[in-house]
Amino acid sequence: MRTLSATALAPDEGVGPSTASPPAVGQVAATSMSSIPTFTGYDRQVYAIESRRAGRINAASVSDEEIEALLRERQRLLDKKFDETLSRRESNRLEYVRWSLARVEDARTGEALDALENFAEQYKQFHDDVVALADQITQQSPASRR
Amino acid sequence: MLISWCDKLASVPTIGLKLNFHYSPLDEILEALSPVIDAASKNDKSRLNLSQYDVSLNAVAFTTHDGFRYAADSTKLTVGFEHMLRTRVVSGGPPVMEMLSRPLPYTALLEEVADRLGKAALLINAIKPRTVARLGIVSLTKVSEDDIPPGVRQLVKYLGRPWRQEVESYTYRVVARLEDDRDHLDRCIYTVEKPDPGSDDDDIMTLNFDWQRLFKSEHAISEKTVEELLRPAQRAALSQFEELAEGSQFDEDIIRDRVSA
Repeated sequence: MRTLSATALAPDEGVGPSTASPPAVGQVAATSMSSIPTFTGYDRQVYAIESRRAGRINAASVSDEEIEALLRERQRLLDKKFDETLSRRESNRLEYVRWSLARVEDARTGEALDALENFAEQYKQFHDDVVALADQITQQSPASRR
Repeated sequence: MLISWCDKLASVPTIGLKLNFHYSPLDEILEALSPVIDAASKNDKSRLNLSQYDVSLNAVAFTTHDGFRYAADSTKLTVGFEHMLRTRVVSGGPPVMEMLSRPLPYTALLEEVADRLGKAALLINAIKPRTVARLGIVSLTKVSEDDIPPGVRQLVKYLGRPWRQEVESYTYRVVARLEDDRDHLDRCIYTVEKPDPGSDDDDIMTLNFDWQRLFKSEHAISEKTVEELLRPAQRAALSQFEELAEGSQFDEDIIRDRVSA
């Protein structure tokens, strides 16, 4: 079971309370003061979807100043790379800046791309179904029976 | 304002204090925290779930409907955030999931959790004056392997070398010292988990980064000391998480240079 804190995996070392199994997301103990249903088994998947959505909301709300700062830093590091003066540490930093910008881009266009991907999958499924149907018709046709 | 990669992956924070031992009955702890419970109520109803009331461990924990989890026992006090979900009945259709907690960037949640912990510490301190021996800040992230920060990717790659990266699932846990100075010792407890392939959520990794500060002499709790302990700790933890996400710590070239120097 997931835990909220690494400390809960090792109560002696951590700062968390002495608890063997903190509640999972959306789970409610039997002693709950008011009733929210439990979602054992579903919580992790739903959490992942909601986390991605929440991450996108957060990343999409990144200020223009931060994006500008990231773009400037990327340019500065790229200049150093083309000058062949980029240190290993700076190279790692460049990767991190690129990743940060990719996250912001995903937040701004990710939902639309996910929808597009979904449509593409539906079309692919439709294509597969049509091919299967065509095969069945061909097998049933008088020419193939002969 | 501090920004972090944790903001972009909807990580959630927990902050904990390790206190000197004092036994208080659970009802006394809940009574001390009653201002928190009152503040969470709405329309004459308490809006929280009591998730732990364990007499043998002398531990109590509850989560408000907006996602803040409070936990206390004889030596620890923690406040964390977790997303809260519920089903909502819709007319003529299956129920839908609804998020009760508000998604906020990790850094904003960390500020909120720190404020709440500071207030809770003062409430617990009213039972009996206490001292702080340790402070921990956790970042918990659920993320697809494709989306992990480059530094964590480096860590996973570094640890997968003996098996030529053919590692299907893993749970890596590291407890390491970071910095040792006159006043405190900093350490990290990092756990990276990838579930077994074929499980329902096999593409979702769990990153649990726990940064801790152990004080060499314990600090008595007061409004001033809580502030003085929490703010620098937040900055140090975020800085450590940033360094981790950049990945130079796990870069073999840098490690080799450092070892040979």
